[in-house]
Amino acid sequence: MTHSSENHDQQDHAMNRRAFLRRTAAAGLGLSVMGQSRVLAASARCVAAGGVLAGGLPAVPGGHALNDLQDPIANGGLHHAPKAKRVIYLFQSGGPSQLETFDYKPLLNERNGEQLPDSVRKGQRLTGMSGNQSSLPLAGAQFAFQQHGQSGGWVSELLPHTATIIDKLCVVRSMFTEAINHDPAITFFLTGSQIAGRPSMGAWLDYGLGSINRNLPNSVVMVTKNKGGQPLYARLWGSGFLPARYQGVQFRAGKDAVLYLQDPQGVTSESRRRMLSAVGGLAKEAFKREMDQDILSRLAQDEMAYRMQSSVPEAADLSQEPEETYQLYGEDARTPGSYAANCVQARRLAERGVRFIQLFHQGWDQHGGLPNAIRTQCRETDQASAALVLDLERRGLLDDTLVIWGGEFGRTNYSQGRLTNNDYGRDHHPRCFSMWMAGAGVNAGTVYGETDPFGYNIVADPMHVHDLQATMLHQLGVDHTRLTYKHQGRRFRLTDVSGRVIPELLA
Amino acid sequence: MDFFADLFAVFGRSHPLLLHMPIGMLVGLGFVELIAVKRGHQPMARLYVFIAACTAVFAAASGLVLHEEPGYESSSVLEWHEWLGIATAAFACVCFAMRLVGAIKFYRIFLLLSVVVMIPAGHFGAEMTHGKGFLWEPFETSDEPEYVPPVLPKIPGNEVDPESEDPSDPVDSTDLTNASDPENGDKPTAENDQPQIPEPILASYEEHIAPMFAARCNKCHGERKSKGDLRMDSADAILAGGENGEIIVFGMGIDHPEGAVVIEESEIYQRLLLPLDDDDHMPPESKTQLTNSEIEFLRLWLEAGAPFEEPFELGAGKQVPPPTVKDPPKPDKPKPNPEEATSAANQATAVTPAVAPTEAAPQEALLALTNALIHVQPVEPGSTMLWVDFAAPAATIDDAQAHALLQPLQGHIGELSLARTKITDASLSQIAAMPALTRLDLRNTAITNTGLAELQGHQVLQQLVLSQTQVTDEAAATLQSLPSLHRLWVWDAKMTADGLAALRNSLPHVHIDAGDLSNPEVLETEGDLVFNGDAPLVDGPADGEAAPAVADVASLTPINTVCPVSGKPVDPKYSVVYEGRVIGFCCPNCPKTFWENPEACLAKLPK
Repeated sequence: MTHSSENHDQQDHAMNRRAFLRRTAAAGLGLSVMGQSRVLAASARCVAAGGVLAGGLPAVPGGHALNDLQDPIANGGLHHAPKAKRVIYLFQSGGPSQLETFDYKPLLNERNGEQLPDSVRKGQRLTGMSGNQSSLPLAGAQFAFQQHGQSGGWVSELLPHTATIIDKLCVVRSMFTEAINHDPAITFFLTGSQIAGRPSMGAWLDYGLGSINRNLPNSVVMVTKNKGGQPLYARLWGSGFLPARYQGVQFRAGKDAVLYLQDPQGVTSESRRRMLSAVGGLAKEAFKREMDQDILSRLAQDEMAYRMQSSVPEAADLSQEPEETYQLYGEDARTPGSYAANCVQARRLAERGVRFIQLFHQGWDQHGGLPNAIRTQCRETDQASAALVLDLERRGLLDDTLVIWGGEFGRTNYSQGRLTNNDYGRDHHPRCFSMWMAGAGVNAGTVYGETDPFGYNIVADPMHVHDLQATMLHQLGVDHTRLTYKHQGRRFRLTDVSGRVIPELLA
Repeated sequence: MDFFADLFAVFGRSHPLLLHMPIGMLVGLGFVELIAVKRGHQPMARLYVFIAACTAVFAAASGLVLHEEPGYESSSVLEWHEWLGIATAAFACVCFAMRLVGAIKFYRIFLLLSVVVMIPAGHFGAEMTHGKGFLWEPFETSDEPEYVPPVLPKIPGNEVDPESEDPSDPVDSTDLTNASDPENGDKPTAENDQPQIPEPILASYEEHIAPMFAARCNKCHGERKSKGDLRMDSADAILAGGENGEIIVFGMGIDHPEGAVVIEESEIYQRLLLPLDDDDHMPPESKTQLTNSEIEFLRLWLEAGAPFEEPFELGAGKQVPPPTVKDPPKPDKPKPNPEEATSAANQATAVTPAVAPTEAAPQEALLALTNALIHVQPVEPGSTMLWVDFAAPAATIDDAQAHALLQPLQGHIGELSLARTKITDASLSQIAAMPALTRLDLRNTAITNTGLAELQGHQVLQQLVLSQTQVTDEAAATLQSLPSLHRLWVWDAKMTADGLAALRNSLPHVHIDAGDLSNPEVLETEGDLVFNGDAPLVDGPADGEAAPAVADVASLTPINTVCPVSGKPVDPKYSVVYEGRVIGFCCPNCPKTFWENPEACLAKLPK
């Protein structure tokens, strides 16, 4: 059985340009009866299929009736029993170097300064930033690597806290992507396509799985404050061509986590409620007449904003966190908007059932001055990332929360710019990079994939971006080939036309 | 708009009705003309010929429309039927034209042609609906014995509810306990009330499954007819599946062990469980339905991995939830053995899986939950067991509300999260009475030992989250009484280190997480950041990106108060460590100058 996209199709059918033309044609333009009827018969089948699927739990009457008409939960929008109920994605924006963190390559230290052999590069394209360099000197990591935990996973000294939880992680060393620059690469990771316009991961999950806590947005995004670096765009958590109600909501640091939630001065909560109910009634009338998805989205978002008036301040209030929290996550967590504070916030949202929580930490794009810059980056993220995993675990949440750490691509094994005794830079490298996953049925304490001794190409078990997405969806109980949405005549999915669940990652 | 489409579809579907009109009229006309030729009568009136030709055209046209509907894949029979039907209509039209112009001889020739073409057209049509060889079937001798549906042997906890047996299926309760032939043996041997482990009772595909398929399936999915491109009369054909793919799905090793049958995805079984009026239900509504015993036989066969050669067990002492056709239960839940589970409370492997209720959860109760913004969904697709999470309204949920909302769903709740709610110990007695509860999350509630004690002896509870509760060391007795428990969280509860150690000792097979298992030393002692004395600290990357943050240096006290480069007062934010000394600057630019010639700058500093 396919997913409930037919439900939505049916509304699209009702409103799109073709439907309009068809209607006009019937009124007098006189298309051939035969051809038209075939089209109509097809759409009638669609409608029938939607009707069958709409069994299961009932829609909610009253205030939320229309919002929940298409709540996928109402027809059990899952394909198999889920291992994960929610995802926390710690996105390290800019492309963290795998060679300074998880992918230990002593050969690079031995051959530090030697030219990247052509036999390794094999003529593969480089970016315009280092592609015209006269020399491509190999650069060894300037940080000590050590094996940690019972699993003996290699972690560099930059990540002492992550090293302590290595037995809880599955490190993927063989990620690869198709994009070579930040914007297409991050868009590819988070929407499944390098070209903007597709729904983000969080939107797909909201559409496919629905919400656990309907007082909070289903997909929440937090960006570390004052970092700069590669830009982030709202489309990375947007809904693309899915109805707008599935887009993620950004939580800000500071007084109002979400702007413009509170009632304007002089408007009481009661009058707000009455206004929403009245507008809701009109909107439902309008929807019956026009069948326009945007009406439902607007209505859903108004209702959500109303409920968020109390739920968001409660969720975002870190003042009640005990001292122990700051010991665990680090003193940084006291600074609103820091990565550590966002990790605490992420845990609070996970506790409250938010389905998809995404943190962005910028500044990993170290084309030059890498050793110093990556120290800072690791200091800002290491302790809090590890603390989040530990904190989820002891609260009984790690079993059904999938935590993902990683960037949009890796970095080259040669130095961009001049290689000195203690300084070097690394350019973008899409052909191999490292990520880790934890929780929710992930094979803890394992390493997946292998790169060559130069850290340039993958030699075993490659994992494509779509594979990661497919595996993530699989853990959430979703068959990535069956979560589809029909748009402009084609059924789209997060993994586009490829993607493979990697069973080795899963316990 | 849709109305016309529907009307069109109706026209197509009236083909089986319309087609009889040209048959009757053309054959009738044929006889009339035969007699007319013999006796020299006038030919039939033009009006009658016109009507006959019209019906032929309508029949052919409606047939073409019907072809557009799904389920009519091209086959040679269909193609022959289609072309012969079109030919019939064409000849009938020409026949009418000849009659119209008065060419009586040609009129009669074309009439003959249309009748001659119509007969095979009708025959092929009939073969499509009734199956190949339908017409001559009575002449074929059948030496197969009459099929009697098998009845599941009486095994404790395995019997099928006699009420739910199809009453229209008067079959003696044959017993398979000591005879694998379903038609022999009518003396029951294993008694219901006798607690014993019976011998494994064997059945085989050859003797039990194949005859069932032959009697119930092969008329449409066999040699003569293979609807949906599916044949079920041989092992190869069954494994090959039909147009919708495989009907028996084998695990690929991800969710299900490799080679095991994924029953919930195998249509051979799932279609039987669909509601009778579902279009996909098999056998079709009008045909003889499988008895519950037969369905159960099939399920056990699939559970054994669908063996075609080897015999399979009819479950020794297994408790099998009987499937009912109206409300499909989750079919392949592992079977618990209550006796074994209780006696083996301290064995690492004794986990009693919960049994899903056979009927779906009441809609009003689900509606009440969703109205209260409480999350509820089946634990997996098609299951009658529910996951209920009070995440959204947690802060306002008290004992009374939880009780009212959960009461009607008692038997259905498989996973329950009451985390962060205001419930007290009073709610636990109700929770303890949930027979299928496997995971309970009471994180951050006011639960104490008293409430927890209500859970004493719960048979199927596997995961229990007691983090941030008031539970103390005395809860050990209750926790030890839970035979299926294998994950427990007690972080930030009121347990002492000694109590925890004792609990871990007494429950070696339970993974107890008290937040103390990871290595805390490393987390507390992060080494000081040591800067390489030769590396520029405050030097942004060449392409103008933000300089790395230096906030952590601010805690260090510079040895100087005046910037060695500019002579202005030092801002500790801009410091570098050089040869073990912290040197302060006034702005981010001065360190750059410093690194160009450190010694010269240092000379300006007070010694």
